[in-house]
Amino acid sequence: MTSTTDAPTTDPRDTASGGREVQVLYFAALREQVGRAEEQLTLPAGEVRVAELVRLLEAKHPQLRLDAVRVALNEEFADASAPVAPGDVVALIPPVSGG
Amino acid sequence: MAKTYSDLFADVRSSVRTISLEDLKARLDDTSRPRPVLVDVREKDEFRAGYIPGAIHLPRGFLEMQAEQKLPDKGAEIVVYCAGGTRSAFAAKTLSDLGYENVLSANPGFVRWKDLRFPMEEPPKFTDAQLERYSRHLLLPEVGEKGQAKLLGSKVLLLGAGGLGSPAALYLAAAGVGTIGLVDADVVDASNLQRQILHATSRVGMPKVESAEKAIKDLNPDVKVLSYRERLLSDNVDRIFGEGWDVIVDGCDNFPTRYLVNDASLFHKVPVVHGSIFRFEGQVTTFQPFEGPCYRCLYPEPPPAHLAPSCAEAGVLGILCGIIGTLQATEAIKLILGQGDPLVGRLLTYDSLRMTFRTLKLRRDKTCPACGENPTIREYIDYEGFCAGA
Repeated sequence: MTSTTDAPTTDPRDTASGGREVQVLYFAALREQVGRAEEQLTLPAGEVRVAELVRLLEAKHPQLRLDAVRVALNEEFADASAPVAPGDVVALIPPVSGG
Repeated sequence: MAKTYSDLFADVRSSVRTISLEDLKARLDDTSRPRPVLVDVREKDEFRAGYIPGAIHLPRGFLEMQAEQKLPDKGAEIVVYCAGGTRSAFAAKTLSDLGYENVLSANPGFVRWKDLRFPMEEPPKFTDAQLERYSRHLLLPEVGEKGQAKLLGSKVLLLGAGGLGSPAALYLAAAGVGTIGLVDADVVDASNLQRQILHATSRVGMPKVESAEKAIKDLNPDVKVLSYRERLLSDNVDRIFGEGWDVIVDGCDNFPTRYLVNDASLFHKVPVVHGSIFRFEGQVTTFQPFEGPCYRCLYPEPPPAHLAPSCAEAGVLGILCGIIGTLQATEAIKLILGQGDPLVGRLLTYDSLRMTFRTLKLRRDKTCPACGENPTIREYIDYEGFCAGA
């Protein structure tokens, strides 16, 4: 017989900011533009779609250029109209061409 | 008193069920029933001279040791054959003793099968030098003689004999890819040698395709090299892509060519293994035309030109090219062998500083202008203008 004891976990929704955080990952040149590889972002209230998230990030980081950048939510590419939920992992992937 | 051979054989024959060659052929031709597992228990030299198509080669001397590995389903219908029916009878008895439930011995055997002009196959012919060179591939069931013969008969086109093309070309040549095409207009520069391991200090100033051919031929004389000392453009892409390539490995270094390669590979229906790099990071994916997403499904728009620095402008960790280029070569070899799961519909990203790989799922875009339901790109466009205008 086995018993499981659930270790206390931090629900990403259960934070001081009202639990609306997403983890944002920056790839390639975007890292230099924002000066970091990842950060937490608090979503505004209401429904947030990928297009709005992109605008929020550009507003937060004026030097960030997200033209042509693709967004993946939880390891899957998403289009501009896809809803973003608290707790999502958002990867921002620019095309690179070096060979 | 100990049994004589005649006693032993009589015992075996009485306990083993047989199938005539005519019945076996009818059974193999009958597509309405599952095919029996055919096991050829002759010696290697006999097998090499020809066998019944689809047969598994399991010489009688290795039967007990290898049966469970090569014949995992003990309930499957198994037909064992040899040259004349004697060794197969003993082998069938052994398999029954090992718990195989449904074993038949073909009678008489392959010699008669051949006389009857029933279908047979010959294994690929290799020279002694090839058997030695590719011995580690030949040991792998996923490659084996058939796979190695596929590699030797395959044609892979490398776009760029630079950072990504270098490791890809070397490993594809080593693997015995029979024909390697190289497209590159540049000459070897000293600043290339930090990462472009196909070239050499002694060959600085030489056209890259020529330097590459020397390295490839030196590594593996089996490989035929087709060189295109030109820049890939709309007006030469059909000539170059039209030469019957099995796979294209894209290691070029600019966005206009990436979009041109995409559109041309869709027109020519050739899979492209894409690799691209930036400083410490790389991306790899495989575009299988009209089966998975294409480059335009992934990146519909090129980045603004001033935000797309080249390696010459941005720098690149030399060894990153080795990682990404060898991943591309791995994909190319898998496609040729028909083994494993290629990166179709998946973008692999690699970060050498954090030493992390991520795989991101990607779907085909129904509205893709190149491979979607109503494509608008039906001929080549002005790629320089497309990328400059972004």
